[in-house]
Parts: sequence; C-alpha cells; structure tokens
Amino acid sequence: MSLALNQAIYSKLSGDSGIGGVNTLSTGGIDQVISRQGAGYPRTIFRELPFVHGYSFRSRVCVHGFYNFTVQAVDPVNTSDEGLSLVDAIVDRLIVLFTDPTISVSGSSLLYCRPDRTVPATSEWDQANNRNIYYKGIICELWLTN
Amino acid sequence: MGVKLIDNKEKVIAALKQQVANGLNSAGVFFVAEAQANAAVDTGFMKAHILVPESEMATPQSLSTTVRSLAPYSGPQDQGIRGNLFFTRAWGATRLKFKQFILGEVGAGHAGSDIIGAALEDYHGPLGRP
Repeated sequence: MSLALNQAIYSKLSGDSGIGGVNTLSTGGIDQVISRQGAGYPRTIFRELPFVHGYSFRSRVCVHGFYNFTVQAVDPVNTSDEGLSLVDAIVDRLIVLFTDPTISVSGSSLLYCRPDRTVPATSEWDQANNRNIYYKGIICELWLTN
Repeated sequence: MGVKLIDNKEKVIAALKQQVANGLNSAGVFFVAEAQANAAVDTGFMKAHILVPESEMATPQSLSTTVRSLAPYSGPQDQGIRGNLFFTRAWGATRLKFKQFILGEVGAGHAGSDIIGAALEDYHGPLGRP
C-alpha cells in the first residue's frame, strides 16, 4: 500500500509537466523524503506522515492519513525572481493539484484527498554557499479504501 | 406523586469543559512525546525543550493548548533540507487520535509513545473524521 501510494503520488507530481506545473517549476527535481545529492533548486519533496488503518471486524476497510509536500528554493542569481516567490508558485500549484485529484493507486482506491493546511514559509542559512534556502509546504489529508 | 424538573445544564457544561480541557492536555502530552521520540539529538537541547508551557495548558476557561519546540533551529530540523519532520509527524499522529483524546477514550499515558503501534490498535470508523 505504501509503495503503491508513494508511486502514485510521484507519478502525479512528475506528470504535472505543463506550463506552471510542479514538475516544470521544480527544476531541481521531485524526490521522496530527501533530495538526491547535488540536486538544484527549486525542488519538491514529498513525505508520508502517519496513517491509521480502520477495521471492520477482521477486514481493513480504510486507511487514513497525511502527506507532506515541501518546496525548497534559493534566490536565483541575476534575475528579478525571488526564492520565496518560486516557493509560493509551486505551493499554489500543489494545492490545486491535490484538491480532489484523480490518482490511481494499485490495490486501493483514493476516496478523498485535499490540502489540510500549509506549513509556513521559513528559511535556513546555507553557510557553504552564502545564501538562504527558503522552504514552505502543505499537508494533505488522504482517505483510501483497504 | 410528582416529578421535580431541574435545570442542570450549567453543571453539565462545566463538566464538559473540564473534560475537553483534560482531553486537550492529553493530546498535548502525546504530541510532546511523539515529537521527542522523533527529534534528532545532538546536544539534547531541542528534545529537552519540546513542551507545553504551563501558561498555555488548557483549562475550562481557556480551551486551547499549545505545543512548542523552543530551540530556534526547530524549523529547519523539521522541514529543512535535512529535516526529519519530527514536529510535523507528531502533529499528524496527534491529529489522527484527537477525537479519542477529546472524548476521553484514551489518555496521554495510555496512547503509547509509538504511533505505529498505537494506530494499529485503534479502530476508526470508515470516513469518520477523527
């Protein structure tokens, strides 16, 4: 279930490759849990949060939990763009993408998926490169069958 | 023969407020335990400073409780480039059990400190939001 769901989430993200899509804007890549070594910015990371399983007698009837999506970006050099605006653009797109989406999960069916809340933007100082890394995220709530 | 009808709703409301306050504080204690269990430890400062400030605990007069991680680098440790979501995962775990805390079905001490084990023991109705 976890593997199938993670694969489905990744497909949804990587398939969003039109203008303004998550894949288009995340030039540093889309990864699970942690970015690949040497990945650029902006980048998108998705991570499974706690899920609980609901049972009716001996059968599992539903799975309910959350997903976290984090976007990280830096201020681009020599452009009028800003790291925070890059982060906001991808987060806005993530909210659209995961509001009542169609996602095929092998062995299960997605019943409900909506953004629950955003995780506020903040920054982390990258000493080695003398820059700030900005990040912001959303948390989505999911219900799936069995 | 007679029946005496008494309006006890003030007592009922007061009791319910106390129950909700207890539930909120149980949820806060559970949240702290989950966050501490997941926290990355170097000096232990951050782990030791995940807490519910006494002044922000729920009371019947103030039905909210606040969990704080006081280390200034808590944000990056949670969501940053090498963050492990210690706080966000604790929030998720608490949120999933929140209804049970409010209803008094579990107390902080009985919910366990491991959400995976605890979650598997719980029954959730299909589609009922916790």
